[in-house]
Amino acid sequence: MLHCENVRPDLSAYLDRELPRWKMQLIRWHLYQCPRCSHEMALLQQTDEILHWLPVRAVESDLAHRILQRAEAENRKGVPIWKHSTSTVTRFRYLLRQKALASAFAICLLIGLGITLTQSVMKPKPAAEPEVRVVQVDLIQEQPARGYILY
Amino acid sequence: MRVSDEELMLRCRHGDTSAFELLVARYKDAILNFAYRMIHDYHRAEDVTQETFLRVFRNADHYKPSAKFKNWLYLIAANLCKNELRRCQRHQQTSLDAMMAENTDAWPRSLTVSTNLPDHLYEKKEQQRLIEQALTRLPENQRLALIMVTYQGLRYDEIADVLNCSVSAVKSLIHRARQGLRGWLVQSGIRGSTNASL
Repeated sequence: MLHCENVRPDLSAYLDRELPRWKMQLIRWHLYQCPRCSHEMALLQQTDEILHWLPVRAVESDLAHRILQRAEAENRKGVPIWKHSTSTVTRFRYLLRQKALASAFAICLLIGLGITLTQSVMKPKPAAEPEVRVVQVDLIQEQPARGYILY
Repeated sequence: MRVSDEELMLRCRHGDTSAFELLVARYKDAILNFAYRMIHDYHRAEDVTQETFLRVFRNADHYKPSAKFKNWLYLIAANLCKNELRRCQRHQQTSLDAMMAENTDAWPRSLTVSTNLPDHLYEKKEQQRLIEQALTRLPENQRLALIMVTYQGLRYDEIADVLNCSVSAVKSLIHRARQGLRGWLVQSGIRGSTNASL
């Protein structure tokens, strides 16, 4: 058995048929028995009915066309011209420009590579480090025979 | 057989513009009406709609097929609406007169009454203005949730996905929004045909 305080918050959902079937049946039964909740329900129904008095706004016939035109324009901004241009000359010029740019890039790359290679070939070899020899010096020298002078 | 939105989005990722065209055709009305309910200005709502679809187009590469396309679309639209509302608040551009002027040409489509009496028309217009005014008084998230459930027909779990919150939070947001709105409508003296007094 449902109480009014449990039913009231669900009345809008009941009106929109957004409750599970078992709950719908319970509320329906409660509304049948409770005049206060039944009145509350009638008020919600009336509010909903009044809301439907507002007319549906007619859409201007060219709205879809304008949307599609704008979308097309946006599409052209992002897509390479040769994909959508109908003019052969434009497409050819575009491709030519693209090829010229690619060739210039390749030439720059080759020049850079050449310079790097030339520099690496022409670079003089670093002088060999002097060889360090460890020479053992014999510090023990023969002492000359000393003579003793006797007086 | 209807191709799913997610499949169309995948095709869009691979540069199929006809798939994007189909998505625009499917959702442009819904997104425009959603933005219009949030902003109450047709031209700004149209700008938001255009920007929403352009963002979808731009970010097609980042779209994950596991995410539901509709939720993703509404998330973008909701964020743009929020930004637009904040920008409007900053520049104080919202004017009730402009809102009324905006709505004038939309009225004849909505009339379900059998009579075209000027008094009746005036009364309906006034009621519509008051409802819109009451909607604008709701907090941003409550308004978003209420609009998505009432006019866009989104389920609570979808709204939770868009608003990045739990389903119970959405339930609470919508309930509070309806209660808040009822308060404003009582003050404005608007009554529906249901047998209950506001």
